[in-house]
Amino acid sequence: MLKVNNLKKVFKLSKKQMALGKTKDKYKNAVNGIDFTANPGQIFGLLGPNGAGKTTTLRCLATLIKPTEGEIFFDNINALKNEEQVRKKICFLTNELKLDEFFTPNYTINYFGSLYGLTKEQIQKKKEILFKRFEIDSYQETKIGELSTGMKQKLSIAVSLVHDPEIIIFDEPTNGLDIVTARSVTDYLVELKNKGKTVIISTHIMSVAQHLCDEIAIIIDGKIKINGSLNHILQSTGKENLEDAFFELYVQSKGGKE
Amino acid sequence: MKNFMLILKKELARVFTDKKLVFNSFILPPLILVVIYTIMGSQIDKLEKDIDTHVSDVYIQQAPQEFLDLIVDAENVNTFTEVKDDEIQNIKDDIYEGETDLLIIFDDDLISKIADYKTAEDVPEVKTYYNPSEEYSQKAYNQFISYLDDYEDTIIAKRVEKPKYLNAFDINRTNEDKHIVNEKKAAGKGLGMLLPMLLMIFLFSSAMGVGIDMIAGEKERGTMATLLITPVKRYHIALGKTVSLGIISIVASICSFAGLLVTLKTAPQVLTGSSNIDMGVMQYGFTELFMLLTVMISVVCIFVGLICLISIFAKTVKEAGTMISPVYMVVMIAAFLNMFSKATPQLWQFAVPVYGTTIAIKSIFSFEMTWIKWLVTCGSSLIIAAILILVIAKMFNSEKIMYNK
Repeated sequence: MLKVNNLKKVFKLSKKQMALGKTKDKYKNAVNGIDFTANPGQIFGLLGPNGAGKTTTLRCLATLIKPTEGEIFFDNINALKNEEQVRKKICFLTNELKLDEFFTPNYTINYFGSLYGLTKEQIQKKKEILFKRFEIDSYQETKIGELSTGMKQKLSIAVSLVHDPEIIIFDEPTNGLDIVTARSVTDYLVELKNKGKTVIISTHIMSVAQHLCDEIAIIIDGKIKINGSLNHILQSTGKENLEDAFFELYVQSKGGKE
Repeated sequence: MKNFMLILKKELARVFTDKKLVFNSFILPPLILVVIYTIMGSQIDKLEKDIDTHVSDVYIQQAPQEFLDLIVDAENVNTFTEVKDDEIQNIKDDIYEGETDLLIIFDDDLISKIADYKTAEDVPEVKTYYNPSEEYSQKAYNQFISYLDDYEDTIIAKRVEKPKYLNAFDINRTNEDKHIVNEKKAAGKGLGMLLPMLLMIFLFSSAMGVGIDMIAGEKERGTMATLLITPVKRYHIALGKTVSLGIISIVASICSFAGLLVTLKTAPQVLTGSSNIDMGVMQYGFTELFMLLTVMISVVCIFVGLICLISIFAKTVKEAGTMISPVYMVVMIAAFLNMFSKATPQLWQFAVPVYGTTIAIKSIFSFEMTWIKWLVTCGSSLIIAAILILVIAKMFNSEKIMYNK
């Protein structure tokens, strides 16, 4: 289980960033006090526009950056005090994460499996399952640089799951993928959920959130505006679909202006 | 430590199993070195031979017969002795253009003037015109100055009753042991002129190419972030990267050094300034080789630390390359500074990073290195390198530096 309490992240802006953002404020509240809980056997989605704070939140969860304030607990382990312990329990996937194109999938998965402290036997067993699931078997000795974008993304997922993490954090899982690979990825996320894993994703695509997530948190300007199941969000906003509900909340947060 | 070893092995595998990288990093540099310096050496030889065999055009006006008799057997010379006054300017123009080599004008009626002059102002004169910027002209001048000296000696000898007393003493006529020199040291000093500087440049440049890609390249491609989300300690990542880069740099430097040794055989004059260097006398023992290797390893640690640190700050490989250029310049200056120094270095100078290592390598080549100097050199380099590695590990923990795009 993942529990987030009053998470805040403030970035100091460079002069260039201030000029680009047309602001005189030296600091930006990327995440401004968010709370949520994600349970095992559930896909939890952070839905929001670009710059809402989704990726920053996920990076905090993945222990890549430290929050300015707040607490993160993975199964009652304080993530801010036990980073390395938490990293063994989670995986973090984003399109920005890449694999060294010189090596083969086989070498890469052995390498990362070893870094996670798995034995050769454990790696071999896991590799067989993952390679079969993602159809990497026949490419396992091909250099990553020679694989298609979809295959690379599948391999990235396989590599990040080699240590059988309890919590899967996925930033924009279908971004930049063709429809077939995107479907394969979302199907696998459902599989993981069904195996009792906690899955947390961020997305700005309404259909992904609507069809995939058991719980959705709509995040705008670093704050969670609403959090709950799809039905709860629709009932609370009085709208018939997620897109309308999102825009209702978005307009409200911008003071009535779109 | 297991994770450190895993990262080290992966980084080494990345370089040593890539045929292109192996060729570019380890084979090409020494190959280029040997080819370029061998070509340079053969060109220098060719130039020297060409000057030696060049037939000089020498115009001589009003030459006394005795002088002409003296130069009758002169080798590689065409002499023109019938020079009229109205031809002088044309000959000077030709010397200016490099088409003629030398003009000698004797005073009119030189023999009588030599016999009759009373005061120093009346001493007859022989005028020579040559072009010092032309090797052929310079060679002809040197050759004929020697003939003129001989001719003058002949005339003076006739003036005195006992010409044998013209010399009060000879210098080293029978002394064959006039050179009291340690040949090993002398030959080593020849080597120590250019080689330390070249070695430092090889060490830095070989670390630079691979090092930039190892960190800045991984940041740019996103593979660094993949590594940072694993439970590996950042310190182990930093150490794994720097140590592997150190090993790669040392191997690349040894390859370049081997290239230098081949060059010393094929073109010694290019590296030592002398083709007479006796390689046979420079038999370096285990001590010298051990000192050389350890001094090189310790300075590589500084180079690797600097390159890794700069690469961490850079967002792209291109930016890292730009940022490293000034450091490369500083390393080159430090290596150059000692190139022409003849002074005996003080002990504290061995502690100056990079500069001290250049002095140390120079001292090793000339068999003047002591263990205390070695300790100071390696110690200071390793302390600086350790500080750099600690800073690198700290930087790996900095989210602003590692994730700032």
